[in-house]
Amino acid sequence: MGEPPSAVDLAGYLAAAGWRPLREFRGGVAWGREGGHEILVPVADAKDGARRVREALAVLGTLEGRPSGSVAADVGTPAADVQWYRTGFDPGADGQLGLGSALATLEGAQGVLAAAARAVLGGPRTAFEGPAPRAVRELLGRVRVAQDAGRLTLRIPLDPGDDPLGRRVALLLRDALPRLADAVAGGEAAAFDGLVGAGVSADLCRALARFAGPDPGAAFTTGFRWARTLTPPPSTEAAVFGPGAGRLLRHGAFRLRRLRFTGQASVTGRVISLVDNGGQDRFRVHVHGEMTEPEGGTSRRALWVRLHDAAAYGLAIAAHRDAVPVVARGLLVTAGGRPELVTGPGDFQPLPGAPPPRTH
Amino acid sequence: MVASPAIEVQVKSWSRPRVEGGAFVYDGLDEVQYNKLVDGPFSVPRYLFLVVVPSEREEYTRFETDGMKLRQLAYFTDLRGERAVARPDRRRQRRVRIPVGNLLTPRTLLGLVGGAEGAYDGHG
Repeated sequence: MGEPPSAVDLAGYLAAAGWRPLREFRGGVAWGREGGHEILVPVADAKDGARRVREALAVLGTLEGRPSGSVAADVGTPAADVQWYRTGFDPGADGQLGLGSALATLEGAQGVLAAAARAVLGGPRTAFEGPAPRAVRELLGRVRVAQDAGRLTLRIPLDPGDDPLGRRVALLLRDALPRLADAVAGGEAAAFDGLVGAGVSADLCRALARFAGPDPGAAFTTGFRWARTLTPPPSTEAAVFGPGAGRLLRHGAFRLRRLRFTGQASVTGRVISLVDNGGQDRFRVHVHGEMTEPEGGTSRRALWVRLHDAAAYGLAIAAHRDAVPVVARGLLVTAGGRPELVTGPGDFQPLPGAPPPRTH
Repeated sequence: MVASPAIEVQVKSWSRPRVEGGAFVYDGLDEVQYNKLVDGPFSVPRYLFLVVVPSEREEYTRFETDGMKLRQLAYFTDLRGERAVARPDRRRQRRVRIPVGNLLTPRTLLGLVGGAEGAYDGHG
């Protein structure tokens, strides 16, 4: 621990944690809570102020079951929400994690925050694609990390204002993670489908699975502590993921990612290749352009389109030859492990306004 | 843990007490130790406890028929108001005087602790 936090921050922390001021003592204030515990918050100009604060942090660390340095970090950052993880990774005899375990927890934590932030900014999705928006990257860049054996603490600084992004992200996770933990405990990945609206995505599940480690996977827990500069939300229990959660989370991530490619969709772009072998694989064209996904999002990609008949295929040939943009609408399915857009009569056309392909 | 009232003490033992003018003349504090007692203000008041002991360690305790006796007596002083040393040096000693009348007993100890709730005047 470096410089201890100020007496003012200590008093703010005690008030937020349910302590009560009991009496004045030589300019300072003695605070108390049930159990008969007391902490003296010194007056600001006392020469022994730092010593008193360190004593207070030691008492708080004992009562809260965590290192006093961790308490000090919370006390000294009143404008940051905290997400903490307690992992099942075994520290060695030296009390330190292996490099692989440490990396897994850090990457998992980053992935969870990124997925939640993308859901907050762009709305819930079964899965996200492409680089994260700038606001997400900026938020992640401000997060501060403390890691000791078995425990990871993320400090999410809050921007000024009533509704900062960091708080919105933390609230999404506070609500979604316990529900996800319940779904995992139920043992059915299909239950994840109903949590997409709460911000659960394939990306979130995959990142969370990192905390379990390799199969069969260890239990892990995550929870929150709230900044004191904003009204804290009602507290909730920590989300507990039992042994084996990692396997189901990975299965759920796979399932949700496939769900992304299910439903009505469209693609607008150019035909880049065509396949028709006259046998089982007929009238299939590859269109590169902008895809509108079943959930309403868009992405640039190359998508296979199954055309309805030879007439549509003829249009595709002409469009490919003349480099005319096309639009295709239909049902998105998974075929041969890849997404494919299945069109019906009239669902494949040159783009309105584009010069029509030359037909012979 | 109870936070208040409270005092902090620095305890010194002394086997060759020297008394002058009704006070122990003690040279056992170096300047750094001295400043820890005077360089306030302190939210918890600080005192020097001086424990006068026999010169022989074996004489510290005596077992008698009615109990164990700890030898000899302890005294206290409050150095509030003394000026701190500007550049304290552990190699230099600072003389302090402890009134012989400041005998440390349960009653006077309670008085020190109870008196700690006095107003904080910003001077220790």
